Amino acid sequence: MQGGFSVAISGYGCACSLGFTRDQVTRSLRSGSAHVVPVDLFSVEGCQARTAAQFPASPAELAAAIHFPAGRWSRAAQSVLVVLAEALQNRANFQPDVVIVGTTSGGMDFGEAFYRRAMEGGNLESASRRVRSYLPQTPVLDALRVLGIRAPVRVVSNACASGTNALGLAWQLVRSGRANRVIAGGYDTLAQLVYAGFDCLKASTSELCRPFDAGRSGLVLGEGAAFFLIEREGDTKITGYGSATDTHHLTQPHPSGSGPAMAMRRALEAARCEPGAVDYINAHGTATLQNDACEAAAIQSVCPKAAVSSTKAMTGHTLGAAGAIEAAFCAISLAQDFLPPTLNFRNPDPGVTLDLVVNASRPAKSRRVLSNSFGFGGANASLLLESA
Amino acid sequence: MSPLGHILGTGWVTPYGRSVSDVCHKIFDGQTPPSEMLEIAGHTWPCYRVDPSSLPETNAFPRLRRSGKISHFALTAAIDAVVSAGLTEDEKSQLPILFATSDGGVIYTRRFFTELDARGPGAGSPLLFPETVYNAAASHVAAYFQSDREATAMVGDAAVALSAISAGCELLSQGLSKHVLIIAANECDAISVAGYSRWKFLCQTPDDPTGNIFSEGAAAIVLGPPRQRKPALMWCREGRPHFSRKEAGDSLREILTHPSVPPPWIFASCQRTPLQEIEQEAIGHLDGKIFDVKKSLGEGLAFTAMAQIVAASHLVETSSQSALVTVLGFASGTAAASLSCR
Repeated sequence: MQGGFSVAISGYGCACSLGFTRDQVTRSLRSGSAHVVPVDLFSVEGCQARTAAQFPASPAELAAAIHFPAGRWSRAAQSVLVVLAEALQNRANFQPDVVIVGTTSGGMDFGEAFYRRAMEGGNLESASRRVRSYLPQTPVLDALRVLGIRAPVRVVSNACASGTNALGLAWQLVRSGRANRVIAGGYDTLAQLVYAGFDCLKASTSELCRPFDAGRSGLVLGEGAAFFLIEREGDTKITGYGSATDTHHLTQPHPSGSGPAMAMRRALEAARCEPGAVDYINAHGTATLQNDACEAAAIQSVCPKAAVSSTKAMTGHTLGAAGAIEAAFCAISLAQDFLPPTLNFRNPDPGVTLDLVVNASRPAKSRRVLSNSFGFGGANASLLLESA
Repeated sequence: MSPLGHILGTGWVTPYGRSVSDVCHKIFDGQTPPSEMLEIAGHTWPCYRVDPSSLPETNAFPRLRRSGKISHFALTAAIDAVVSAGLTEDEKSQLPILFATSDGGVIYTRRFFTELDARGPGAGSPLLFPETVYNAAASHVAAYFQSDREATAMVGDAAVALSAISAGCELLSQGLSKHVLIIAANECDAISVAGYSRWKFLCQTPDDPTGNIFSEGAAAIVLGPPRQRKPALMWCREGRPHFSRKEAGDSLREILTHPSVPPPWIFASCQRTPLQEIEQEAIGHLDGKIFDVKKSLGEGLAFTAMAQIVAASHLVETSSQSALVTVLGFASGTAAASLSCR
């Protein structure tokens, strides 16, 4: 690869079911707490699953405190504003060359509302005011405008790998010298269409999310956002990124784990890092039968000695935000010297021989950590972070 | 100025067919195809549709048996672009794919949500939902070419097509790939036209003199190393987002500040829309002949922005001249690109 500039995270913000600030999230990660609750944002009648990792409160009040009209924005836009404001705290002069954002569903709740209004007949022009907030770029454009940033925005929508892809593309730009400063991250909030979608695929569970457990029965959806200021200097370095497409099936990974393994290897090769030098992997770990089996096979083939956990039992699967949120967890892990746990773990899966961090966080001084994200369409992405 | 890459192959699926030269001829003549009507909740709008019989390869590809139209369009355009670029089997399997779209699989999304709305959230179809994800088409294209490289979907207004080209150029410039396939696609559904009504860039009737007729299709290019007589992509820039007509003009002017040579031809994006005047003002000083792709191909958002690139590439390749492509999107996106064969 041309260039070879160092790439680092100089600031970030993160919000999910564990809290709206980095400090809140760090405390919850360390203590191993979760916030999975019955869904009260929309009807889940008839769904097999009934719970989700919702934000601990509506982000409306926090958003309105930053910019009063944001109290009426979409939930997605509110969370993006809150998180971007935290990322830019004390960095008011940070003007990126480009902003790269991962999401799967944008302001879907507003899209759903528009659909219902349109089907009722009546004034479409009035109803279509909601469509602007449905567009995936709108939450980010609106938040950036409030925060005084005007840069081109690229929206990556590669299903559940989107957040990691966004960070990876930012890494490529800064490393090659084609950009000096990038804001990158991801967001997604809960929406009925997406909730029903995972439910009808029988990917969601009606009980607890138990990643890598022998009795795992599916994922719990969540919501959140994380954004990073990426430039040449900072507390955490991004040293490698790899992506790969598994062409086996639109929604099912190849059982061998070849796609995830390829993404991990490419990230390590980009960083010129030996697999044995990876201390910890924040796994995609959705707790579906297929994902965890295939990811475990991939990790066993690439980094068998690394400690591994999935934080999705705590945060739920935040889809397009997951890669960004979990990269934030990796940065927290490096800075705070602990590994976050895989909650709800009861029985080892005989097919999974990983060094799993289960049920309680583990004190550990890590140097290199890998964050995995995989998604529909065979999208696989891995990001390597190192302490500076 | 060194080119960012060279356009080695192009392909498209349009309401006027698949032949790049035939469709370009119609565009340059200002012809318009017959329109059909879309209807939802008592409202109707005209649209230009793709003839499904023009997609035999994808209809025969098993993975697309149940997929949405957008995936068929994207793959067909991709196949034609890759064939015209003359890539080897080995090169195809090493192709990174960038897929740009504005609405994604909107037909399946609307159908899926209609089911939920009518029968309850527990009654969604597991066949429809996976095809609603924005990257479904990119995944199918990767599967067709058996490429294990990145297949990245990007979403936005029309300008996203040029953002995807920029992202593709970055892969080339960093030495991460020899070739890159970039596709943009759109499919027609009445819910989209209904949603866009407030921006007033779409025709309400077939004879409406303001706006463009909503349309569907896909366009694709293969970028790679220099090859004789193939157009060079001299630059491709994304502008700052705009929230007003003034900002739209400023944003476009900013990225057009230093075009190296004033182009004889300009493929503009906003004819007959509320942004036409703004775009014309921004490009007026360049004094080039302005081409109107959307009169013939309609407004297909990301698809027609990429179609502007394909049409410009065809003209540049056949004339050994240069061309400018400008895109002002309805939702804040701005981008422009310059092509040359000099």
